[in-house]
Amino acid sequence: MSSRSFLERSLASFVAIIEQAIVAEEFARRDGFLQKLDPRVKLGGFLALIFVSVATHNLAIVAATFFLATALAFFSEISLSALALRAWLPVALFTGVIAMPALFLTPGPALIRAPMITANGLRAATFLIGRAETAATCALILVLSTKWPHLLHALRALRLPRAVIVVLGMTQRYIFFLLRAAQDLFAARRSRIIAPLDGRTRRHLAAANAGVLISRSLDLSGEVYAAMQARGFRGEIHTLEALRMRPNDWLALTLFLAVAVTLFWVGGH
Amino acid sequence: MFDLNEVSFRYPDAAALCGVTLSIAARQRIALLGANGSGKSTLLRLLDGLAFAESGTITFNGKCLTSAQFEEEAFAFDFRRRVALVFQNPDVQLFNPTVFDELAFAPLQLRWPNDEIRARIADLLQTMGLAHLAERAPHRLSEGEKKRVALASVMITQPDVLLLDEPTASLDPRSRNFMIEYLLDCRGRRTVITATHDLHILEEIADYCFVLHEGRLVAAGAPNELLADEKLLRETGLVHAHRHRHEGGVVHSHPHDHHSPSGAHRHS
Repeated sequence: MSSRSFLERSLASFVAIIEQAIVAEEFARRDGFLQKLDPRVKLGGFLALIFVSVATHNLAIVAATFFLATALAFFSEISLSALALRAWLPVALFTGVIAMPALFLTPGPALIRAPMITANGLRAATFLIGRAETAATCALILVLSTKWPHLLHALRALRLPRAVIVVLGMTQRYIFFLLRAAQDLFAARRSRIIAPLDGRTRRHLAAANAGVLISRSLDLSGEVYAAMQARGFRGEIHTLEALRMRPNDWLALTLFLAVAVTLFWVGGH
Repeated sequence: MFDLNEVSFRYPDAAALCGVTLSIAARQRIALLGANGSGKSTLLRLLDGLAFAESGTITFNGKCLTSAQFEEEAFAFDFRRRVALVFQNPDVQLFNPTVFDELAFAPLQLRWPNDEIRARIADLLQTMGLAHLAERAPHRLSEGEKKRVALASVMITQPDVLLLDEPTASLDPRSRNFMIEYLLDCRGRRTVITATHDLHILEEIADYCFVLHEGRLVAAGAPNELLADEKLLRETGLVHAHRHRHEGGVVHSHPHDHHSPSGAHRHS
């Protein structure tokens, strides 16, 4: 693997993250079902669905919750490819690695003899992946369908501490700047490399760059916070659209909770 | 408006300001002159209440700028509305998803009515020629556009005091002219304090200057007086001597302003 291709891949992934964040704002601006709801309703509703998927011991309920969330995304003009790329695929990969040993190690009646896979193992692995996929899908739909300041506002309404809100707000705000700094750093490095590097030198350079980035990110976070303070930021989130519960929001909240309670009750019996 | 008395400030690894004493009256246009690292930006931060003097005092309309004072919500709101800072690096200042959101940020923090915020944004976008950028992501704009949006994002609150850190740095001539025109337009209407080392804009943007060198206030005066003091400019790193070989092999040294193309000398 050449040092050039490594750097180019790093740059490309940074750019992709930036682009994804921009697209995420575009989803939140669309005229879909979820976008019309008060962010507090969405937050409460999706938290209820996540609770059901995690608490239930019925695989059908996990699947029902997953499909319900996906249907909500569909009616909110959030593309399934966005969900697949940002949640389904990464979660399947990461959770799959964690869940795989359960297939072979969980005691129970054998489904396949060689290699030995038990029914209980398959069930445990499916549960783990299903719950993780459902929770990630719910969380992603919530984030994609809600403007970031509105989401922070909703979290604050749920009495999340101000310090946590500030950290979340800062993270979103300076991530663009930090990524651009990283891009510049990699580009500058690439422009000064005139011959292929051996693996050890590449690793040494990568570690040194990571250190510089961490140090730079600390400086940047201070600068961005100062810029926010200079314009009156005192830890509270304010939005141009005042959060107001309308009849549709109450109806949606009731439906969300009714569905969650029903799924939980059916799953428990 | 601002009174500084023996103000000192240091960063963990170096002193930034040492015993600075000065006064700035309302509606004055002030330039803080100095080479890189002279303490200009630090002084702007102290004036904006983003950092606080380690020793000495800074008062704004008679009230001492301390961290305890900014804990008081009424004071903080009033101060943030009346004093605005445009950072040297607009990327630091532009952290919202769109230009519209960027302009809405400060008024929202100051809890203005939403209708008034929308009206002011629409007005300012038109005035500053930014209407076509309203829904654009700030980090995707050109450097000149970013600076203009950064300026608009603080002008939305119509501050009495405008603090500018190197407003013309890295701008093309068109954006630079826009910035200078805007600052000229502020004359007599608000206090403008500009940190710069660009001597060629000095007479247009300032009525009075303070010269900083290694954290100390070393001179003060009208722009034309300071520009005539070649020794001072050279000692403070605002110009430096260039050696040129003239026809006939004679070597001369000339003062040379590093930061503007028009500062270059032509020799036949």
